[in-house]
Amino acid sequence: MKAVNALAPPLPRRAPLRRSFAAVAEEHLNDVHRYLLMLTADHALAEDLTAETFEKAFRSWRRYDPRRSSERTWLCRIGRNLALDHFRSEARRRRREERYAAETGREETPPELGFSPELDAALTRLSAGEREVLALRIVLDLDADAAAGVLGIGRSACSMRLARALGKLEERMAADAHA
Amino acid sequence: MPTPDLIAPDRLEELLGGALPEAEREARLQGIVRELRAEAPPAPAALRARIRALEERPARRRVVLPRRRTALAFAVVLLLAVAGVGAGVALKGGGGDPATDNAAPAEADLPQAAPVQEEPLEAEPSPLAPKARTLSKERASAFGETLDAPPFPPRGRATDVELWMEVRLPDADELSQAAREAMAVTRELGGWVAGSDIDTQGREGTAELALRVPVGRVEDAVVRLSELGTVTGQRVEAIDLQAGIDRRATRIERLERAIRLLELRLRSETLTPEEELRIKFRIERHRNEIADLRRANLADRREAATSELALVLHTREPAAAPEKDEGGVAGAARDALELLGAAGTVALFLVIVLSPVVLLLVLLWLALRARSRRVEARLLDRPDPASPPSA
Repeated sequence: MKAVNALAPPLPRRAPLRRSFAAVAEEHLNDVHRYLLMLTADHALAEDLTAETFEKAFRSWRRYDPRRSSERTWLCRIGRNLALDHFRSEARRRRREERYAAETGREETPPELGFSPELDAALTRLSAGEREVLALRIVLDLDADAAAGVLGIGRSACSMRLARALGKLEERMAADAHA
Repeated sequence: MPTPDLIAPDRLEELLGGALPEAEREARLQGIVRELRAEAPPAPAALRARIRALEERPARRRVVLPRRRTALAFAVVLLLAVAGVGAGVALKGGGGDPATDNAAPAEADLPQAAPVQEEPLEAEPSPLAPKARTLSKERASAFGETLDAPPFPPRGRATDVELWMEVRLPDADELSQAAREAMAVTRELGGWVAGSDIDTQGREGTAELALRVPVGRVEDAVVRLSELGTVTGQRVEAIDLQAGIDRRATRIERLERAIRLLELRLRSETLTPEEELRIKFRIERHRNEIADLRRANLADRREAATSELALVLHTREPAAAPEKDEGGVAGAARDALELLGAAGTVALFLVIVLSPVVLLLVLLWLALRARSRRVEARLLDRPDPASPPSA
């Protein structure tokens, strides 16, 4: 029998079976949430957007093509599009409201991102775009190509954006420490 | 705000990969990176529960193609359909193409091409006399074949026949001789030459003769004139005049009957002077109308008595002879090549016509994408993207 098996041609390799969506969600939930939290700097909004991201991903899970991007990159791209849509509509809404009502002068509490107070303070003074690249390249540890794919820019532009964001962050933390 | 000194992206990649820092600043950066990686908060439990609640629904087996592939397939199918329709139209509409005409045997096509003359309605004559039938045989026998004799109107009916005939001759001498013969034949048949224009230069030349031939001798004229050389085209137009003549004759009969009745009334001597005058006017009017109708009938009969025959003699070279219809594999290959050529022509036409539209669409898409990127960059350039931009 062994001899027969040895002579038989090896079976062709089959593509790995697709994982269940539940397993994918379990594995990447933290990453997507961290990314959206750093992008929005708002806990409640990040949670809502994360939930919305996974709902949308669940609906289009059958269309996901693993050859084109990793699951995490795909999820981050969905989350980013949802966040951008939210920012656009929210900016429109606020502009509309400001046109008809005077600013109430409410006190803005600095958002907490879950890091040390110094890092939180420095991060929240960065632009959303800078926080986003930090989240993708450092917190989620995506490589330059994958991060560039999520951001829709080139690899070198992504590296430059990261260098600028890290430089600003370090400079602000140093300035805060001196103060 | 001044831009901080940037660490070179390559060096930054090395530091992110765990390279040892070589300066204090690099060490600080690595510390920040380590803190960001280590202290990133996990997702709240409530959110995790919410995501877990998304249970996979029972799998529905349906074929889902990626959107781009579907769009591409649709575009290809659409293009093929358009090209197919275009090719079909091009091939169908190729009747006027000399190459297509030449490919078909002339004798086979001509009898079908000749429309049948409609007989005028005797019982209910229409003011619109049946129009001419037209027989176009240009180019049909451009290869030295003799054309079938054109169908002539039935004898006994007044018909205005106009005939055009084109005859090719080998050189100018033959052409002059043929022109002279044509005139002689016309006179011999009882007709006359209404006009002639003969132009020869060296071996080349053309002659246009306008001949009038008694209608009863048209067929003889055609046969004899076609013997002058090779007939390369001929056309017959016949307008039936008999229906109009019959209608007018009927009207004349009615008017004459009416006149007779009116004259009887006049002779009765029971009329008042006014009535008598009125009846005389009516009789006069009827007589005038009868005279007009008779003149019209006479003119039609004169027109129908002779036929106008335009004879064109020329020395032009015949068109290239068509290739013999090949059967079997060679014929099929030639047909396939012709079809591919036609399809290629249609495809080229579509490319030329559609390329500006496609270019515009691409430019529009690029502009929209650039605008979307600009909006996106402006949004993310602020710490709070949802806040409206400060003035």
